[in-house]
Amino acid sequence: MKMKLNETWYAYLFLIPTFVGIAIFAFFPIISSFWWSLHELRYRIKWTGMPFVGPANYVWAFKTSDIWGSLAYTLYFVAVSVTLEFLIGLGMALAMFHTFKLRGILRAVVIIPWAVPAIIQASVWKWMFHPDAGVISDILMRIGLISKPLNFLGEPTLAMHSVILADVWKTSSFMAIMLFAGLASIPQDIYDSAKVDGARAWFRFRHITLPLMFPIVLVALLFRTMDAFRVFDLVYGLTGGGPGTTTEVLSTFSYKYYFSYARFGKGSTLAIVTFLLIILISAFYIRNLQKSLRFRR
Amino acid sequence: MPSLSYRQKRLLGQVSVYIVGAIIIIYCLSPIAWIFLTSIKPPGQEIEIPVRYIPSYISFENYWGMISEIHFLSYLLNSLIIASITTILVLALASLSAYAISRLRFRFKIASLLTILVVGMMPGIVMIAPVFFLIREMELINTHLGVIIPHTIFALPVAVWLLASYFSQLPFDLEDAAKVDGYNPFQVYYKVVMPLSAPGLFSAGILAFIGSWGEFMFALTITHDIKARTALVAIATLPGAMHLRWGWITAGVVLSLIPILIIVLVFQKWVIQGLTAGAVKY
Repeated sequence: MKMKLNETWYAYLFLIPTFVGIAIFAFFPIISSFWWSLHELRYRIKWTGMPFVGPANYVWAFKTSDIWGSLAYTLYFVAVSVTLEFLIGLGMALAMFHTFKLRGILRAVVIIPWAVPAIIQASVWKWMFHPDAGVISDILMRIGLISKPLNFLGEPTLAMHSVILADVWKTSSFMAIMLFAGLASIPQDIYDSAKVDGARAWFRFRHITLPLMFPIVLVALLFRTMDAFRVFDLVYGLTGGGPGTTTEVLSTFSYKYYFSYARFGKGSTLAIVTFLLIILISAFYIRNLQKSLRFRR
Repeated sequence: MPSLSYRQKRLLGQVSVYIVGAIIIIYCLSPIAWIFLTSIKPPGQEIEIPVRYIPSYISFENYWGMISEIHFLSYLLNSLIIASITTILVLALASLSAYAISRLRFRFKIASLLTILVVGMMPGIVMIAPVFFLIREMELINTHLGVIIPHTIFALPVAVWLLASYFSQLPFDLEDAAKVDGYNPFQVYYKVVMPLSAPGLFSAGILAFIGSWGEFMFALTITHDIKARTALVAIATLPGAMHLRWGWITAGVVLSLIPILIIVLVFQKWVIQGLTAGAVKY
């Protein structure tokens, strides 16, 4: 009995440093952001006071067309990017899985885009999208698809899709790693017996591979969706939200309100909207995770 | 294709394997190869129309420019200091918490694990401004520690998750034997569990290092000059006209990618284990 009590005290002791850290640098900031979002808060030379305005910032946000545009683009970015990266990632994972000879090389190659930090990824693609000397325009011109260089990051519609293309390059790599792990975890003898029974490749994929991979697919998709909603570095580095506000995502818009306009009330409002969207997805994620959580003691 | 013989089909299959392999390699590597090719061009040759793919001769002047005029090595050193200390702090804090959660008897186990995990899901933007003011109150703006603190907090969730799942797979026998010998939980953690967990600690450490090295938003906001700025922030905030010197930018990109790529390729196994453990990201 005494031992048990001791152990419990040690457990709390071990958790204290982590919880103090996240209380101060994660929970307190989130609560402050929420509090600020209910105030008119501008930073000039010194704080100009902080009048309580209740939901006024939220009303403002939903009346402002730029913010609707940014919300719409964020949703579009998430939907298109996650779909594309899933399809490309699945293709790469299947290819890696079925080519025994190249598996080692491909696994080393596929992990590289994932390892490239997002802000570096932004530089890499900004250079490839360069309006004069961009390598993508050059290749397209050499093939004969276009006659003069495209301004990938300067034309609204084109820019919106260029950002997605750059994002997919890195994230499809993450998908491929996850899905490959999923494929590799399926016991081979299930396939063997299906083959003996005369199941064709598509049938095997549809009725064995997909159902057995479903848990890891779900986790990967939920995770990536959440991550796509908080995209910041790539957009900041690639377009800075431009041209105009066409590629502005919630995070970059909010950052502008904070650190360019010094309007912390309005910035917090946008940050809280981002936060709520992510909470929604993480609730699914946690519920899914909870089912698999069990400790022996 | 009904008329193909078995041998022809086999050949076709083998050729297509190599074609698919080549497409994947080009897709993943060509952007980085292009950055590298640009960085070794002689100054002034990076922007040419039509694009010149192979430099007329190899020049390291862009690297020299980054190093001598921007003092890029100092920024790399800042990145190294911040990422290394972050990694050590993360491993210390996370292994204690993960040990408590996975091995010790107390209520709220699952609740505390989920609370920590939720922190890892939060968008940086909802914390950035208040954290900035906290760091400023602590007078840590533009210091290594000012960046290390948020980096540590945001790397903790993944590390705790990874280590908790690693610890929970260890057998209980050794621990029980140690308890019989009169070890308290801290001694068990320190003398029994930690030495057995080198692979798990390694995976968690590598992910923490990569995460800190590549983090941008907090490093950008909290630092403002060579005293504490990380390499990645330095590239993204090159002053004025240098913003257009793609030779220099690409050289900086290559220099800041080298450590990460070496780590990822050499320790591939641990990175993949960390990424896929319990199918949680990072």
